[in-house]
Amino acid sequence: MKKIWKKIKNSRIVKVLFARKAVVVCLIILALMILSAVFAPLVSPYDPYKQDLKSMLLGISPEHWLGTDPMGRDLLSRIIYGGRVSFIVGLVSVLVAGGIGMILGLIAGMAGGIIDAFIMRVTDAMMSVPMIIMALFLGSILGKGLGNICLAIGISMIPSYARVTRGQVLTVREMDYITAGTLCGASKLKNTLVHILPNCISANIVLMTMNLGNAILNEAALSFLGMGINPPTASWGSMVNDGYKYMSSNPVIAIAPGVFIMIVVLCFNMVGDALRDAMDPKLRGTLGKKKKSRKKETA
Amino acid sequence: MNKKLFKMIGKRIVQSVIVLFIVTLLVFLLMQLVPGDPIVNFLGANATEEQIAHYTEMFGYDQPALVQYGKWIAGLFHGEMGRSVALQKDITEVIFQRLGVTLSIVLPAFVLAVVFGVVLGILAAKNRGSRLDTVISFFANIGMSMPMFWFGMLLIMLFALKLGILPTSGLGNKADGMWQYISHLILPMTVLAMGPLAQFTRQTRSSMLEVIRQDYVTTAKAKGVTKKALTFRHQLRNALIPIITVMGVQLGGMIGGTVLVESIFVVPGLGNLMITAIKGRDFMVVENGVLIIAIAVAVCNLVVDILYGIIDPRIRND
Repeated sequence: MKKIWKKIKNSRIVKVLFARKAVVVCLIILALMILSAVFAPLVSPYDPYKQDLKSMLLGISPEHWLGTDPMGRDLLSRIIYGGRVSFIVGLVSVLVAGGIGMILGLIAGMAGGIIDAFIMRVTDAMMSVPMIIMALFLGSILGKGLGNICLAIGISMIPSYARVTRGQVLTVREMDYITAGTLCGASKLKNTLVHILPNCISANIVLMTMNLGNAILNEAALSFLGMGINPPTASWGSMVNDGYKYMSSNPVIAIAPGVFIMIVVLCFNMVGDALRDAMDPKLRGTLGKKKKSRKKETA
Repeated sequence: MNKKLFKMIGKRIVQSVIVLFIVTLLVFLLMQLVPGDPIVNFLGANATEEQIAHYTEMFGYDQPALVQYGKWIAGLFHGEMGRSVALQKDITEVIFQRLGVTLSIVLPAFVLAVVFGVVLGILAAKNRGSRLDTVISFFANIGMSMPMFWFGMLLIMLFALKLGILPTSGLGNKADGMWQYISHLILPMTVLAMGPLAQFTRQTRSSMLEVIRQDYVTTAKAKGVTKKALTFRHQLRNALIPIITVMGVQLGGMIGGTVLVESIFVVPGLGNLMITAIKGRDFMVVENGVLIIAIAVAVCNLVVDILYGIIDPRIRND
C-alpha cells in the first residue's frame, strides 16, 4: 500500500498537476463542488423543490444567500442540486463517448480495409454536423430526461474518440513489441486487448477530461433551449432560462447559475490542459524551465 | 506544383461528396426514429382522420421510407428540397433566405474572432510570462468556459437594458439606415465570436511558443531580420497550420452555435428554423437543414485543406 502511494506521489502526472498553483485551486474547487452535489441533501439550506409563493423573487439575504426564484424556491439550494445534473451528464456522456469511441477506433484500426473505411466515413459524416445540432437532433429522438441527454451528448462526441484511438492503434500496431507478441503466439485479439488497448487509454483520458467541460456546456445549452432536463429538476441551463424573464427586476436568478457553469467548466478545462501537458512527451522536461523563467520575471 | 494542388482539391471534393451522401442517409434513417408526426403536429388535436390522411398523402409521408428517401435525393439534384408542413412553403426558398441571415452573423463574427484571436495570441506569446500574457490567457480561458447563452444574456442586460444603446433582439431593416441594420448584429456577433476568439488566442499562443524555440528563428535573428519580418514571415507562417486547423473546426462550430445565439436574440436564421422544425417535427426541414449545415462544414474543411497546401508546400507535395 505504501509502495503504491509512493509511486503515485512520484509519478510525473501528479508532479506536473500539482506544480501549477492554478490547477491545484481548480482541483480543490471541483472537489468541493462535487462533494456538495453528492451530499446535496445535507449541504443545501432548503428543499430545492419546495415552492413558497409568499417568498417569491426575494433578493439576497441572510436567510436566502442568493435569494429565491419566481416560485419562491431557494436559489442556492437549487444550484447545489443542479450541480448533480451537470456532473452526472458530464461524466456519463464522456464515458459513453470514450467507451464507444474507443471500441470503434480499435475495430477500425485493427480490422483495416472496408470496415475501417466504413467506420471512418460514418464518423466523418457525424463530425460534419456541429456537436450541438447533433445533440439536439439525437435528443429529439431519445426524448428529454437525464439518461437520454447523457446518451445524446455522449453519442455526439463519439467521433473524436474513435479518431484518436484509431490513430493511436495505427502507430502502436507497427511497434516491435507487437511483432514480438505475435511471434510468442499471441492471437490478434490478445494483442489488441493486452498490448494495444492500454496504449490508447491515456490519450483518451486526456480527451475525456478536456471534453467534460464541453459536455456540461452542451447540457446547459440543451436545457436552456428547453430540450434537456425536465422541470422541476434543477439544471443550471434551465435555471438561466427561467431567470431570463426576470432579467431587469432580479438579475441574480439568471446570473448565478451561469457563474457556476463557468467556474466548473473553467476548472475542468484547466485540469484537462494540465493533464494533456503532463502526458505529452514533447513537453517532457520543459516544466523545470518554465518555473525558472517565472522566477526570473518575478524578481 | 499547381497540378498537384488541383489533384488534391479534386480528391477532397470527391471525399466530401461521399461524406455528405452518408450524412443524408444517417439523417434520414435517424429521422424515421423520431417519435411524433409532422402532419398531426401541424393540424392539431382537432383534426379528423380524413384530414390527416389527406395531408399525409399530399406530403408523401404515406410512402415507404425508401421511396421518400429516393424522392428527396432526386429532388436535391434538381434544387428542390420539398415542402415544409408547418410553414406551408417551399423549403429551398425558406432555407436559403434563413441561411443568408445566419451567414450575415457568422462571417463577420468569424473575421472578428480570427483577427483579435491571432493578434492577442501573438502578443501573449511574445510577452510570455509577463502580466499581459497572464491577463490574455486568463480571459481566453474564461471565454472558452462561458456558456454562450448566458454571455448573450449579460450583454443584453448591460447594453440593451441598462445603457440602452443597442437593441435587445430581432433583425434590423436595411431600409431604416445602415446603423439600424448593424446595431442589431453587434451583440449576436460578439456572443458568437467569444468562444472561437478564445480558442484562436490559445492556439496562436501555444503554436507561436513552439515556433519561437526553433533553430531557424535564432538563425533569422542572427542574420539581422527585422522584428516585423521575424514575427510574420518566420514565426507566424510556420505557426499557422495548427491555427488554421482550429479555424476550420471553429467555423463549423459557429454555424452550430447560431442555434443558441439566434434563439437568445430572436434572429430569424437557420438555427432558429432548425429548433422550431425539430420541436414541430417538421421532418423535411430538419433533414435539409442538417444537410445544408453539413455542406457548409464540408466547404470549410475543403478551404482549410487548400490553405494547408498554399501555406505549407510540404503538404501540397505529399
